Amino acid sequence: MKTIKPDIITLSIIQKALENIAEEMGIILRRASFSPNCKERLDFSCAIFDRNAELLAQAEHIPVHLGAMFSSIAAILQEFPVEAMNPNDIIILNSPFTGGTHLPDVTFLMPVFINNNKISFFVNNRAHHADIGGSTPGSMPGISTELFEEGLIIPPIKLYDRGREVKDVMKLILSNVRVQEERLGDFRAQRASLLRGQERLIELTDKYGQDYLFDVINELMNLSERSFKNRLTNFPNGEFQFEDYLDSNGITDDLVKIKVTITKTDDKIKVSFKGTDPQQVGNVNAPKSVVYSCVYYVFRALTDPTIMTNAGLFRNIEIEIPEGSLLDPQSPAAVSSGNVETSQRLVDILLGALSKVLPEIPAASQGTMNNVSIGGLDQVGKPFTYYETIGGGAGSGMNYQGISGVHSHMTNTLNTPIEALELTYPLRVRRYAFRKNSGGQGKIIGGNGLIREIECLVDSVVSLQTERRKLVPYGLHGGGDGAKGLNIKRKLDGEEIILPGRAIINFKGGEILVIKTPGGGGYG
Amino acid sequence: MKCLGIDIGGTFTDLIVVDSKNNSVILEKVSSTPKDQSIGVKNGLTKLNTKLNDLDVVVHGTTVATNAILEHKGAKIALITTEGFSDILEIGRQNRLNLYSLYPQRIEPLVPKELRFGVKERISASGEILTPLDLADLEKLITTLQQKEVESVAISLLFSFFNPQHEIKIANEIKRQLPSINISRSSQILPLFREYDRTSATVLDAYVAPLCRKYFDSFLQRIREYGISVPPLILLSTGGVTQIKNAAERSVETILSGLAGGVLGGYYSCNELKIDNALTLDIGGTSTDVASIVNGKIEISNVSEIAGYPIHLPTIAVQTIGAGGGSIARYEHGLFLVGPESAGADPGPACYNNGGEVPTVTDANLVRGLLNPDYFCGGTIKIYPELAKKVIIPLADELNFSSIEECAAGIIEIFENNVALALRKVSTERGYDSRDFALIAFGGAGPLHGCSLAERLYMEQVIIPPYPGVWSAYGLLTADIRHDLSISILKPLNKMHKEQLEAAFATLTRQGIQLCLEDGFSEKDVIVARNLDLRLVGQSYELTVPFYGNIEAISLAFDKAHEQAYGYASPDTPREIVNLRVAVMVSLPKFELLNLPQGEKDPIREARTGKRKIFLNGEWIEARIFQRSLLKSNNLIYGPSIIEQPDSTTLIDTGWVAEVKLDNHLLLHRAS
Repeated sequence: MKTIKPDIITLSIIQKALENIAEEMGIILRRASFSPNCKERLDFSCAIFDRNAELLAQAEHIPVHLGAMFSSIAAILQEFPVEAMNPNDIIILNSPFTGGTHLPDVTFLMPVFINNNKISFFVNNRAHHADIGGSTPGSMPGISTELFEEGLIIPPIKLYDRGREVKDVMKLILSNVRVQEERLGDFRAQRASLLRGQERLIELTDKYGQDYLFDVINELMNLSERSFKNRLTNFPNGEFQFEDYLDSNGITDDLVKIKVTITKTDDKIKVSFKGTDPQQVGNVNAPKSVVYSCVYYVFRALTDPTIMTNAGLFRNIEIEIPEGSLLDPQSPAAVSSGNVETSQRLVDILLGALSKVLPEIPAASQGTMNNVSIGGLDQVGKPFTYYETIGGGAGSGMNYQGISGVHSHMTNTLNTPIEALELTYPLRVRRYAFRKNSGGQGKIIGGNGLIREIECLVDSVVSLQTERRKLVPYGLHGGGDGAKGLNIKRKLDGEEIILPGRAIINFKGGEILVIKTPGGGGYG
Repeated sequence: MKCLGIDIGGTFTDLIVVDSKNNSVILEKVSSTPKDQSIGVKNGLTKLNTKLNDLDVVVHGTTVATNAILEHKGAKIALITTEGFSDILEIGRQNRLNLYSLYPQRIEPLVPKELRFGVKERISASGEILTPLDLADLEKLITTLQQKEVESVAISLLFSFFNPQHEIKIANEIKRQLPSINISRSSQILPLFREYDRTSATVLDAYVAPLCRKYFDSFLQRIREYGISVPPLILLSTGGVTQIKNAAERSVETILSGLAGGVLGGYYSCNELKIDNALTLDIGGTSTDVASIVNGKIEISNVSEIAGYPIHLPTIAVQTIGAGGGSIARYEHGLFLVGPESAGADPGPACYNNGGEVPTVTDANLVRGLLNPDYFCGGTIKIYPELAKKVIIPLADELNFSSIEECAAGIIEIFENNVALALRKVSTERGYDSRDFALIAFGGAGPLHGCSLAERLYMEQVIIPPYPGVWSAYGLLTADIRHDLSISILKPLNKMHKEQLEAAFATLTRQGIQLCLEDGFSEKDVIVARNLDLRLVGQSYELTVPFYGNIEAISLAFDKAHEQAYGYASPDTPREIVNLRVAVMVSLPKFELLNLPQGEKDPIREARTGKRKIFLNGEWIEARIFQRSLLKSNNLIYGPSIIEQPDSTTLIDTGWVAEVKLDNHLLLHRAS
C-alpha cells in the first residue's frame, strides 16, 4: 500500500476525470445512435464500476437511470461470473429478472483488463431502443400480461467475445426485432461508447498506478457517504407513511395500492414498501432496480444533488421491498410500464410521506410520462414505429410556481421536433400547446399540462401507457388537485371517443389522437 | 496599410492601430461602457490620439447583441407561428434544466404568451400548402401588432424551409402596413428543419436587431467624428466580417462576435509560424475560451447556444468554461474546487485590495511569485501579496496543507486540470491526438499556464503571440469577408444526382456573391466553400463534409468523418443529405507583423531585469526575469524564467526554452 489517505488535489482531479469519462462515453453514444430515444431524448446512461462492481461515476440524463445500473450489476455478475470474462468481451442483457428494467432498455457491460490479467474496472451503458420485438411496435404494449409479449428477452450473454462479434447471437437478436439496421447501428454506438471508456480508464491507470487509483476511489466513496450523512442530519427523526394508487393494473380498472413507510433515525434512512399490493396481472410491475432509482432520486433531490454519484452516496439508505409484490415481480411478470409509469407514482408517494414534516416539498406533478407509440406500415409498405413521452404540469411549492408542459421527476426526455416527426413517419401534428386551466388551484397555482394532437395519415396501431386518467395529482396544504389527463380518438366525422389510460387501439388513416396531459397540484 | 481594430469586451474596450508604412503599433485599453458601447469607443479613439482619417480598414467586434440576450434587454417583440403551435417557443424541448430539483426550471421565453400569435395556414412535410394562409386572420393580427406597439416581429411557420411563400406573404403585408417594424423571418434567418431551433434563431434575431441597428448608427456617427470615412467591418460569430449594413440585416450572426476575435488571433499566429494543427487558449479574468485549428482551418460548429437559447447557425467552435484569473477556490464535499464562480472585475481577486475576501487563481499565482506586484498591467494596477496570503491561509489550514505556497500550487493544479479537460474536449474527445497540436496561449493569464498545460496534454510546442493580452483585438484585423448560407434537403444520398446538388449549391452561391457585391467586392475575388451535412439514415446528428462534386467521393469522406468522430464507419448503411452549406469569402489585405532586430542567442543585458523566487513543481527556485520589449530575434530564454510585458506575463518552466522569432512570437519547446 502506497498511502492510506490520498492527497486532496489528486482526489479532486481523479473525481473530475471519472465524471469526464462517463460523460464522454455518453456523448459518443448519443451522437452515433439511431433510436430517437437515445439521440433525441437522452434515454440512456453510462457508468464506470470498480473491480468489486461498486459504482465509481455515472452520467445519466434521466433520473430513472440513477440507481438502475448499480443496483443491478450484482445480478448480472451472479448470472455471468467474472471468471468467465475475457478482455474485450461485451456482455449484453435486457431481462428485468437478471439486472434489466424493461425490455427496450438494453445494457452493455464490458470488463476492463489492465495488463491483460485481471479485471480492474467495468464500463457499462444502457439505452432505450426504439424496438426490441414483441407484440407491438416499440415494445411498450399498452396491455400485456407476460414478459414474452413485450419483446425478446436477453439474459446476460456475450455479444462480443474477445473483441469479435458473436455472429449467431447477433443474428438471433436481429431476427426478432422490427428495424434491423437501426438496432445494429445502436449496438455499434453502444460498443463504441464502451471502447472509449475503456481507453480512457487505461490512460488514467497508466498515469496514477492501479493500487493508488483504487485507494483514491475508496476515499471518494467515503467522501460521498460522509456528505450525504451530514445533509441527512437536517431532517427530523420519525416514521412517516403515505399511500396512493395507480389508475389500473394494466388490464382491469382495479386500483393498485403502493404504500411506503419511511423511518429516519439520525444519519440513517429506512424505506419500506410493506403493505403494497402484490404483483399484478398487467405490466405495471416495477423491477427492484426501478424502485431503487426512485428512492435515490428523492433523497438526492432533498439533500444535495452536487454530492458525487458513487456507491458511497446511498450506503445509508436501507430499502425493504416485499417479495412477490408489485415492486419485486417474479418471472414472467409483464413490466413494461413499471419503469415509466409506476416510477412516477413511487415518487409521489415518497414525497407525500415526507411532505408532512418538510414544508418545502411541492405538490404532486403530473405523475405520468404519457407513453404513446404509434406503428404500422407507411405509404410504401415499410414498417414504422414512433414512440414518445409527453410532459405535463409541475406541482407548485412553498415559494415556487409549478411550470407548465415539462417532464418531471423520473424522466427528462426531449420531445421529437414536429418537423423531424413528420419527415420520418406518416403522421401529422395538428396541435402542440399548453392545456389551459389544468393546474390545481390554490395560493400558488400548479403548472398546466400539454395538448398534443397527432393525425395518423395511414391505418395505424396506437398503444398508450398513461396514468392519472382516473385519480388526480394531489395538491398540498389546502391547494387544489391538478386536472386528470385525457386520451381521445377524434374520428373522421369529428366525433370524439374517450380512450382508456392503457390501451391498444386501431386508428384509420385521417383519425386523430388527442392527448391532454395532467396538470400539477396547487399549494396552500 | 493602416488598420484600426476595436474589440469590446465585458471589462475593457481594446483598440489597436497597425501602420505598416511607418512600422508602428499603438495599443489602447479603456473601460467598456455597457449602457452605450459607443461611448467607450469614443473614449478610446480620443485616447489613441493619432491621425485616423487615412485608415484603410476598420474592424469592429461588439457584444451589443450578446449583452441584450444575457441581460434580457432586447426589443419588445411578437412571434407569429402556424396556428396551434404558438407555445412551441416556451415548451422548448419539454425538458427541465435542473435534473435533481423538486422545482423544475426552464429558460424564460423571449416572447411572452400574449405576444405569440398563431395564424391559420399549414405547409406539409413535402412543402405543399395544406391550408392556405388566412388573409383576414393576418389583417386582424397586424392591427393587434400595432395596438401592442411591438418593435420587432419574428415569423416562424412549420416547414417554411421547404416553402417560404406564407412567411414571405406575412412579412410583405406587415412591412407594407407597419414599415417601421423590424421583421425577422425563419426562412431567411435559418432555413433548416427542426422548428424549435429555427424559431429560436429567428426570435433571437428579432430580439436584438433594433438594438444592433441603433448601436451601429451611433458607432458610425462616433467614428465619423474622428474623421474615419472608410466603411467599418463588423465581426460575425463565424470569424468572418461584413459591412455594417449587412450585419444590421442579420444581427443574430453577431451574437458570438466577442468570442471570435481570440480564435482569429490564434489562427493568425498559426499561419505566421506555418503550423497546421493547434489549440487556441484564451485565459481571461472570468472565463477561458478554447478552440481548435485542424489542417489549417478553424473548426466551425453548426450548433451552439447562448444562455440556454439554441443558435443553430455556423459559429466558431469555441468551448468556454468558467475558469480564469478571478476563479474562486473552495472546499466542498471533501473536494478541492476552483471556479466556475468568479470574483469578476468587482471586487476581483483579494490582492486587488478592492474588497475581495476569497482566494482566486490570481491570488495563488501572486503567492507563487509568478506575478510582479509592481508591474501588473504594466504597473497600472497595484497588487498586494500580503492580501493574497491572508485569504489563502484559512483554506490552507482547512485542507491541512503544510504551507501557503503548497495550497496556492494546489489551487493552480485544480485550475489547470479544469482547463486541460476543456482542451481535451476540443481535441482528444473529437478524435484528434493532442500530441500533434501546438498550444497558442494568450489572454492576460494564458502565457503563465501554457507550458504546464502543454505537459498535461503531451503537446510539444507552445506559442505566445507578441501582445497576448490584446490578441483578440489583433485578431479582428486578420478577418476576411465571409457569408454563410444553408438549406435543408433531407434526401437519400444515392437518390441525388451531382447535377441537382450543383444547381442547389449554385443558388446559394449566387445569394452569397450578391452579399459580397454589397460589401463592395467584385465576383472574381470571391472564394466559395461548399459543404454538406450528412448522416446515416435514422441518425439525428449530422457530420459536415466538403462537396467533392461526385457522390462516391462524398460517401467516402463521410465514412472517414464518422470513423474519426465515433470510432467506427458504417459503409453499408444508407446515408442521407440533410443540409447544404455554402460559405463565400473574400480575402482582405493583411498587414505584416513588425520584424524585431536580429540578436544573439543570449538576450542583451538590459533585457534581464532581475531575478525572483518562484514556487514551481513543489519548491522555491530562482527564476530570471526578462522584459519582453527588449528581446531580439534569435534570443533563447531557458526556464525557469519569467518574461514580463504590460499586457501579460509568460512563464518558461524548468526544462523548457523560448525562442524569440523574427515577428516577435515566442516559440516554447522542451530544451533538448
